[in-house]
Amino acid sequence: MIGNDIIDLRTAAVESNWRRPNYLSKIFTPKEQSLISDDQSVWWLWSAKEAVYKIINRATLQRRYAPLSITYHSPDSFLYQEREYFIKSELTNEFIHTIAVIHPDLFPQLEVCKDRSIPYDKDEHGLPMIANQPVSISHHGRYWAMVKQKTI
Amino acid sequence: MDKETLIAELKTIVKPYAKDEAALANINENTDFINDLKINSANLVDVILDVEEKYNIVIDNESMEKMVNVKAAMEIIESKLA
Repeated sequence: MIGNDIIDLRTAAVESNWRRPNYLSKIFTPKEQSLISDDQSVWWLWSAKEAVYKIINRATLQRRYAPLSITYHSPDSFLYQEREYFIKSELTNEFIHTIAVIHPDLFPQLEVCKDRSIPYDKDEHGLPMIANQPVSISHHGRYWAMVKQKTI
Repeated sequence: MDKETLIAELKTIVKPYAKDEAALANINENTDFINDLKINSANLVDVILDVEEKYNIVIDNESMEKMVNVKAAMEIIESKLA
């Protein structure tokens, strides 16, 4: 299972005002709020929660808008219902891209594709697939990213 | 409050965040905030905060979990105002 989330920091700066009263407390625990200092820290936390949510959503096929249920555990992992989900992020001044997996051994088996013309299928739930393998797609602002298993 | 009024008020709330103009124009009970209106998940927080401010209610985590479509939003607002 793979989840990914890409955030265009310029788009986020225009679309979202995280300094709005009560905004952070709706989506981040007190511990997570203590890690926040700037845009990058906000959107890194958010991208990790979104990437982990995509794994859970795909496994359960349930919609839940519950960002407080996915919590920071370490710079490399987040927790949901006491289970650890592992993340890796690419942080630049322009975007943040986070990949989540259920076991860290999976990371070397994955590749990122940023070419949005890559053909893919959809399963019966509308979720993206390539060669019967689930892939994860995220897009925001100027960016688009797919994470998939490397083809041998 | 009747349903049409509530949907019209919700339409005003979601308008700044909705990216699908056609879906916004046709907003109804079955409209999904993310899948239909293409509201960014980070902006769904703004929708929730705007609803809290407009109706002077508090949307707890349990209610927030369900707030992914117009129908759920209407049910939550109605139950909090009751």
